[in-house]
Amino acid sequence: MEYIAEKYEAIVIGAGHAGCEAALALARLGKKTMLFTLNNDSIANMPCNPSIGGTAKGHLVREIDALGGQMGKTADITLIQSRMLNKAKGPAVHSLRAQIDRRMYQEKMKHVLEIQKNLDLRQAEVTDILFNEKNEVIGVKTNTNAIYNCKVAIVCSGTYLKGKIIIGEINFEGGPDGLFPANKLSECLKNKGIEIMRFKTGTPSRVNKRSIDFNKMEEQLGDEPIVPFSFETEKLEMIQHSCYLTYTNKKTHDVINRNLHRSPLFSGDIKGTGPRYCPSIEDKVVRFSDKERHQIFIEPMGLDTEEMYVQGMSSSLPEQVQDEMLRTIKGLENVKVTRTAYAIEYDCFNPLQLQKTLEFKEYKGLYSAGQSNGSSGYEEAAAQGLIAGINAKLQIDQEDAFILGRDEAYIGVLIDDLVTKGTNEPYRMMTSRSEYRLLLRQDNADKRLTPKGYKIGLISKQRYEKYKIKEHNINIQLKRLKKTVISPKITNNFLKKHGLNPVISGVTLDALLKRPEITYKKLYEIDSEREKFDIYTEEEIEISCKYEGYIKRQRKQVKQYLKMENFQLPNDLDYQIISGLRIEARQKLNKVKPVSLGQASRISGVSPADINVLIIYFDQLKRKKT
Amino acid sequence: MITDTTIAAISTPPGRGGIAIIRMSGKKAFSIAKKVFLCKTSFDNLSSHSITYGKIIDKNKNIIDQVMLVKLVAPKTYTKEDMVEIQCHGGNEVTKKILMLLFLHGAVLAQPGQFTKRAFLQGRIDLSQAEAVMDLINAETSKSEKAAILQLEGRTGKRIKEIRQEILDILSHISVSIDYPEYEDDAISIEKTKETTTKIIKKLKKLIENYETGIIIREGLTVVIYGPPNAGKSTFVNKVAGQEKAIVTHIPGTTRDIIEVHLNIGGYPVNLYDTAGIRKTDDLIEKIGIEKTISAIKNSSLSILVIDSSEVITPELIKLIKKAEVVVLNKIDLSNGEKYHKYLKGKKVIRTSLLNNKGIEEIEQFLLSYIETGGIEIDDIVITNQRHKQLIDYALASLIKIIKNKEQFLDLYAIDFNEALEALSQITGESASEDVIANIFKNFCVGK
Ligand SMILES: Cc1cc2nc3c(=O)[nH]c(=O)nc-3n(C[C@H](O)[C@H](O)[C@H](O)COP(=O)(O)OP(=O)(O)OC[C@H]3O[C@@H](n4cnc5c(N)ncnc54)[C@H](O)[C@@H]3O)c2cc1C
Ligand SMILES: Nc1nc2c(ncn2[C@@H]2O[C@H](COP(=O)(O)OP(=O)(O)OP(=O)(O)O)[C@@H](O)[C@H]2O)c(=O)[nH]1
Ligand SMILES: [Mg+2]
Repeated sequence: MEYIAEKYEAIVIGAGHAGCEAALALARLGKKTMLFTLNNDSIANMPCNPSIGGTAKGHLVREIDALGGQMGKTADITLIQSRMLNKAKGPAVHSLRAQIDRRMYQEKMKHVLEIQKNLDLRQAEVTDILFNEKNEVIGVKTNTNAIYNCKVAIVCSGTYLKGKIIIGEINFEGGPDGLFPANKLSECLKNKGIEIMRFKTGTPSRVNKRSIDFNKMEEQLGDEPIVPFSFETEKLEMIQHSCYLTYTNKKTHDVINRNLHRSPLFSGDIKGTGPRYCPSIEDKVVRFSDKERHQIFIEPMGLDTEEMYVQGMSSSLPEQVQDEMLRTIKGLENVKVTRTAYAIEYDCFNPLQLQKTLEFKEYKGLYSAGQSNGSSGYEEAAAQGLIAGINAKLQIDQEDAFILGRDEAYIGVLIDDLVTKGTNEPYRMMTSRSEYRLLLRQDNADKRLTPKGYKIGLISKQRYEKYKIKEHNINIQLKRLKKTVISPKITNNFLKKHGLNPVISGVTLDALLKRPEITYKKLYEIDSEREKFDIYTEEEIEISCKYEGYIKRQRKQVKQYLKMENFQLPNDLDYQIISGLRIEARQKLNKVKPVSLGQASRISGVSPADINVLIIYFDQLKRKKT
Repeated sequence: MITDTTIAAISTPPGRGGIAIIRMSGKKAFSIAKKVFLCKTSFDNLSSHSITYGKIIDKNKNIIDQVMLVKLVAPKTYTKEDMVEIQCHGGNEVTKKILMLLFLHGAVLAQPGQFTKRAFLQGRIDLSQAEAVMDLINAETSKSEKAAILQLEGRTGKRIKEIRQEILDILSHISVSIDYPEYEDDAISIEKTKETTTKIIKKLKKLIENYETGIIIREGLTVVIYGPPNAGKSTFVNKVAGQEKAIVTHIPGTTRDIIEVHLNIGGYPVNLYDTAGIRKTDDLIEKIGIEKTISAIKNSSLSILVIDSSEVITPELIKLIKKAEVVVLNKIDLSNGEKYHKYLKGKKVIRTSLLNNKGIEEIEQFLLSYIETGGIEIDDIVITNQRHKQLIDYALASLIKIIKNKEQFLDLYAIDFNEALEALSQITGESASEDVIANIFKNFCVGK
């Protein structure tokens, strides 16, 4: 018997990384919110790497934090090793990456949810979403026959919808980490007319630390001092835990080659589309057969566990083969496997059905965020959850949507890519996906987004003031650097000391700092009177000054981009009627319904000539009206 | 509006009536014209909508052409922007040179339909015509795309694609180093990057050099010379080429395989094909040669039948003549060829005595007029080329910045590589950003 349970303003389905951010944003913004999950003990689970951040993903975490999201803060208190990647490759691509105590992260996140005002958390499977005759969300139904009414619902179902686990010749229904799948929801949504895709991903084995010989591996230490993810975390000090590097070898590859016929990837048993950036070890060995060895990283899963994650050994070969190939690796000769590597297939939604707010175009009040939108990764999921949560709130309050541009945040790139280009494999963020990455640095995420977060209401007044002081200091210092001229004598002594050619006339500090060899730190030698700031402020001063030329160049590109973005397109237009467009362009435009000319130009299948046709078409409309 | 560039393009097909018109429109139209146009009064004092005689000069003050220039002051112009029209003496090379000069001073090549689009956006064309404009844009684009594709299938296109791939490879390599820093084996150094870039620059420069001197082999007019053995086909080719390219003997069946000769007639590229004489034969090699002749005729823009006026008429020959449009009646020093006249009615006939250099000029004139009256859509190809040239220049400028760059961080090199790639991608019509990512996963073994 169905029964009517409590009424909420918002319901979030799934307490993974997307769901947690969505629910927290809604509740913090004052909306009465319910968060459902299949299992309360696996909230914010990391079914793959026990790590957060990395290239481009570290940027996402910083951006989430700058907007008032949770991920960075919880990561800071649960990390057990931290590194700043790419320090030698350029300021725009510095990336934070941390090993996380997986269990602790889940518990901390669960507790944050539990103590959050306006938020209820309940273990239940949502089996259906209820709509009125206008296709507007009115509620959800659970497997316990309860009906919860709501104004908005956000699906954050991750890899659980019709999940299927595959290990070699064996496969069964299931979610990640031995959890149940959710078998009903996608079927219901499909019947409602939503387009479902089938994707695939995989994870390597976990092994017991006691069975590893670390003497045969290279140790990888964390960086000191630790740079926190969150702009609110002042300082982090702790004993860091190491990762280890080892390699596959010819013996490993022999085992794989001998057993290839038993891999469902090669036999065609796996139908879901797997990601290119996450090839299984058998894939690597086959496709790059001339490589003599592949890197394997051993990462700790947490402090209160001996389990370690074996990065680089993702596989869907049978268990017996997996164990055999692991034992060919240096240091793993006697390894005890605690969890077998597997591949998982799951249902997700074609993101072309979504608006940039992550609401379905055809179903008012229904949102989707995270892996259910065809993305992959904890950070990608969290970022979408936050944006969906914010927009759901704005919708309830009938306020304008919150959309980030490609020039403002990696989050903007992520969502624009998903809803404009779609994807045929789980989408992973990469720095190369961003056109303006010198502007979208991890160090200036607060500058880009904190004022926005404040306006939305997720950033406290106190934090906003702190941010404003930082900005103020940076601006003052940048101006001072430009104004301060150093005499040739002092300059030349300084330049000589650093092995550089002398100058004839006096130079500004700004000009000196712009030289590749000079750092802000070195500059202190001739600028010892200067005010001292925290390392983050000083870092930003240095980057803003040194790379001013590049930054200006990118700003100019952004200006071009914005011209196209600000040319808005109506969402109710039938492109079939515009005769000048090519047929393919009409179909694609009708499917995506771009909000701007810029977005239209990024759709594959829409040519520059089609864009010209659109310009004329809309100009014609405008003139007809006046 | 969306663009504030100054655009320029050739707006008449070259050669028609011997005069070509170049149009330029936009804010900088006058300042650019001022730099290239020399006349008695100063440019600023020229009145709008009147024609002025003068000279076009290049940066070194060399005179390129004598032209008539019309200055058109906004808003009473087609685009409602400042416009300049230059009427030059036509001839493809000169027209192109002038256009290049405008580019050099900051104009960019107009996209198909862009003048009309501007005219429309400025309210110059009324609503009823808007539909037509929209249709035009895609029509013109597909036409020029066709021309571009034509060229890309040629050697130039192949070369550009190769070079683009090299840039793509470096950029993917940089991206892998950045996005997968843990894979140290796959990292690339700045020195290595610069080394490769130097090589790419050399290649691109060569491509442009060739472009400028016209050595580059573009798709041009393909002319096949065919006919019975011993008629003088090889002599024809040698005389028109001004070089001994094909062997000439008195023995029928001398030419057995196709001989290709590239010429430049009035600035247009022409590919001349000498072929094996057509006759019934049991000689296997000759048979293959004849088959090749027939297929070459099918693929040509123009085929010219050469016959020996002193030879007897055979039924075979009559068949050939009937199908021919252009006939060269050779060896008129031996016979006046009267017996052929009734078969040649309605056809273009050129009477020659090639051995004695008679009729060669007439042949050249015929070829030129054939090209210029639209025998081949050379205008499309030329315009596409100019666009390509401009984009290659752009790519080159970006690559040169890389060589000069002294930054220590790899990422700071990506901006310029991206620009270079973007420019070449516009020529090949490929997508830059997607290709980088695809290339990464194709060529590097990264990922967990
Ligand atoms: C085997 C495997 C390998 C992976 N490999 C990688 C990788 O290599 N790289 C990478 O970046 N990412 C990888 N990931 C992806 C990463 O785990 C996810 O992208 C991320 O966790 C997605 O977050 P999410 O919030 O979208 O969903 P999840 O974290 O999956 O959370 C989904 C939540 O929804 C709940 N739920 C689902 N359906 C219902 C329902 N009907 N009713 C109620 N609750 C429901 C679940 O209980 C869960 O709480 C992998 C994931 C798996 C499982
Ligand atoms: N008298 C005279 N002889 C000519 C003339 N043109 C060519 N010949 C001669 O005719 C002979 C054949 O000339 P080719 O040019 O080799 O003829 P072809 O048609 O290429 O012959 P194939 O080898 O059969 O392909 C040569 O001996 C030429 O010198 C001409 O105008 N007058
Ligand atoms: Mg011959």
